[in-house]
Amino acid sequence: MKKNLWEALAVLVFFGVLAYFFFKPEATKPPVATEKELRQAVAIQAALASAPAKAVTAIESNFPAANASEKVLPNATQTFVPAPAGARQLPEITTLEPLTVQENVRTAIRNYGQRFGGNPVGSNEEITRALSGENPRQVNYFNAEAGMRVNQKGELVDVWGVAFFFHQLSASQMEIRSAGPDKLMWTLDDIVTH
Amino acid sequence: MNDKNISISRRDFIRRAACAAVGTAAMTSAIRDLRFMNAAVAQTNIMDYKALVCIFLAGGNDSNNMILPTVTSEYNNYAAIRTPVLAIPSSAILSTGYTDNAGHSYGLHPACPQLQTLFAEGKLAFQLNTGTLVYPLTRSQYQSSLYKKPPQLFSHADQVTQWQTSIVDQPALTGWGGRCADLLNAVQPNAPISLSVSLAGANTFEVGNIVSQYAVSTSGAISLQGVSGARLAALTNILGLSYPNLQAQAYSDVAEHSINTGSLLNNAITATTNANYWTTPFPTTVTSPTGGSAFTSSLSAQLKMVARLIEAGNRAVANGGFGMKRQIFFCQVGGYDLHTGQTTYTVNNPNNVLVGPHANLMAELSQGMFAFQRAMEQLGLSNKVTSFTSSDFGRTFPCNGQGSDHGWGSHHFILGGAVHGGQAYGKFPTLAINGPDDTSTGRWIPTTAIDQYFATLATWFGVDASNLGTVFPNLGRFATPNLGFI
Repeated sequence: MKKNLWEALAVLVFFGVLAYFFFKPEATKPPVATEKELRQAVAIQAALASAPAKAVTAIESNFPAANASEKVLPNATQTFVPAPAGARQLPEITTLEPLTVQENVRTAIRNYGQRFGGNPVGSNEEITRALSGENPRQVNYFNAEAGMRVNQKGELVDVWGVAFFFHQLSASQMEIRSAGPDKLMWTLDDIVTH
Repeated sequence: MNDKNISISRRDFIRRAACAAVGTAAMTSAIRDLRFMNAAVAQTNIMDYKALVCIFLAGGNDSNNMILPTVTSEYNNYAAIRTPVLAIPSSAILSTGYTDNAGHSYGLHPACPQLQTLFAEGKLAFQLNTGTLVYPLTRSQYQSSLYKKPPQLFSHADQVTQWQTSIVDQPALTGWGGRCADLLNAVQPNAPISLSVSLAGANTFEVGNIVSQYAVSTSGAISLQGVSGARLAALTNILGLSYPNLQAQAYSDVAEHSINTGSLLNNAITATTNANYWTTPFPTTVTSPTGGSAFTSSLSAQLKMVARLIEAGNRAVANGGFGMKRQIFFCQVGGYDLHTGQTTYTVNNPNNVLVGPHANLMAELSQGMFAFQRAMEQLGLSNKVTSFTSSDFGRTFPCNGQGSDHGWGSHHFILGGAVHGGQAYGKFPTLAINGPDDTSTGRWIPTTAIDQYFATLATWFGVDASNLGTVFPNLGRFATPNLGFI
C-alpha cells in the first residue's frame, strides 16, 4: 500500500513537470518591423514633424494633424463639430498615444467577439453602439479611459478626431484603420491593425 | 421489481449517453442522405444536357454602378449622392431601352457594351437588389433587435459563405451547388469526371455530401509537377499494386484515380485547344472602352476552360467526350473590394470617373460573358447553359471619398438562351439615404432573397418542386419560390 502511494506520488510529479513545460509561455522575441511598417512609421513621423502647432479640429486632440494641403481627393475629410449640450459627455482630449488607443479599440472588439462568437458588424456607428452596450447582454466594452471617443455622429474616432474605418473580413478578423495624422483615409500614414 | 436491476452507474450513464448522441447524429445525417438518395432516384428521368455556371465577383461588387437608373429623377438622386468620385455621367450610361411596370428604366456601366447587346438580344436579365435574408425584412424590422438578420452581415468571409450555401442562418456544411449535384448525380452514374468542377480552387458553393468538386486550372487538369513519360508510367505501375495497409491502398487508389481523370480530361479537351476554334475569341487581355491600360483577364481564361469542358461534357462517350447530362461550374474573379481607388477620378481629371479598377472589372465581366455566350451558341447549347453572377454583397451607395464600403443587397446578371432576358426582375431600391430600402448608410436591404434567386436557377437545372425544400430549406419563408427569369 505504502509502495503504491510512492508510485502515485512519482507519477503525479512526473505529469506536473510535463504540464509545466507544456503550458510554460514561450519567451517572446522582439517583433521585427516589416519594410511596410518602417515606411509607415517614417511617414507618420514626417507628417507629425510637418504639422502646424495646433490643428483646427472640432474634437480637440493632443495630437496635431498633418498639413492637408496635399489633399488627393475632395470630400475625403469630414468636418466634426462639438457635441451639443446634453449629449453624451466624454473626454475630448486623450493623452494616450495613437497606437495605444487603437490597440485599446482592438481589445474591446476582440473581447466583444469572444463573448458573442463574432465581432460586431456594420458601420462605425453600429459597431460603436454594439460596443457601448447595444448587444444581446448589454455588456459595455466602451472605455473612455482607454482613449475611446465618439464624434457627434456616434462614431468611434482616432486621436485626430477622424472616424475609424472597420473593415470586416470575417467573424473573427477585422482590419481597424485610422486615417493617421494627415486625417486622410487610405494614405501612407494610415495606422492599420488587425 | 428490484431497483438494483434498473440502476446504472454514473459512468455507464455517460458512456451510454455519448453513444446515443453519436448514434442520433449519425441517424440524422443518414436520414438526410437517404432523403437525398430517394430524391435522386426519383430524378433519374433526366435525359437532356444542362450546365450552370456561377461567376463569383469576390470582394463585393458595386452593382450601384453596374445597373444604373436612367429615369431623370432617379438619376439625379444617384448623381447627387455618388458625386463626384463614383457618379457616372448620364451621357455615358449605356441605355437598355427597357422600362419596367413600375416605371423604372435602367442602363449599364459604360464599360459593358457587350452586355448591352446581350440584353437587347433577350439573353441577359437583371436580378435586382438581391441578398442574404433569414426572413423578409423591412427597414423598421432591421432597426429593431427583435427580427433575425443574417449573422455577420457586411463581413466578407461570412457573406461569401452564406451566398454559397444559401442557408443563411445555419453553419456551413454544404453549398447549394453541391446539394444540387448530390441530387442530380444519379442521372449520370458512369460520368468519368465530377458533376461539380471548379476553375477557382476549393469553394463552398460546390461542397456536397456525395459529389466532390473537381478543381481544374485554366489550362486543364492539374497534373503532377515534373512527372511525365517513363517516370509517370513507373508511378502509375506502383500505384496499381495491391497494398496490405488499407491507408496505403486508399492513398494509391485516390492518386491513381486523380492521374487517370486528369489524363482523361486533358485528352477530351484537345478538340478545342486551337485558339481559333471559337468564332468569337475569348479575350486574353481586356481594355475598358472607357480608357485605361490593357490587363490580363483571369475571368475570360476561366470561362474559356468552362466552355471547353462543356463541349467535352456534352459530347458522347463514343466521340471521346464525357456524355454527361448535368455539369456545374464555379469561376471567381477578385478585386471588387474597392474601398479606395474605385475610379481614378481627381479634381483635375473628372472624366476619370469612367476609368479605374471598377471600370476594368466591368469590362472584363462584359467581354468574358459575351465571349462565353457566343461560344455556347456556337456549340448549339445556348438554351442548355445558364451563367449567373454572385458576390459577397453590394456596396454602400454614398461614396466614402475614394470608393465604396461594404453594403448588402446587390444587382446581378443571368445569362443564357433559356433566360427570359431583356427584362429586370425584383425591385429596384429607392435611391435615398434613410429611405425605405436603406439600413441607414446607403446599404440596401434586399427585397429578394438569395434562396429565391438560386431556387429559380435550380428549378431550371432540374431540381423538381418536391426537392426544392431539401436543397433550399429556408425557401418557404419567402413568398415567391420562382422569380420567373428563366
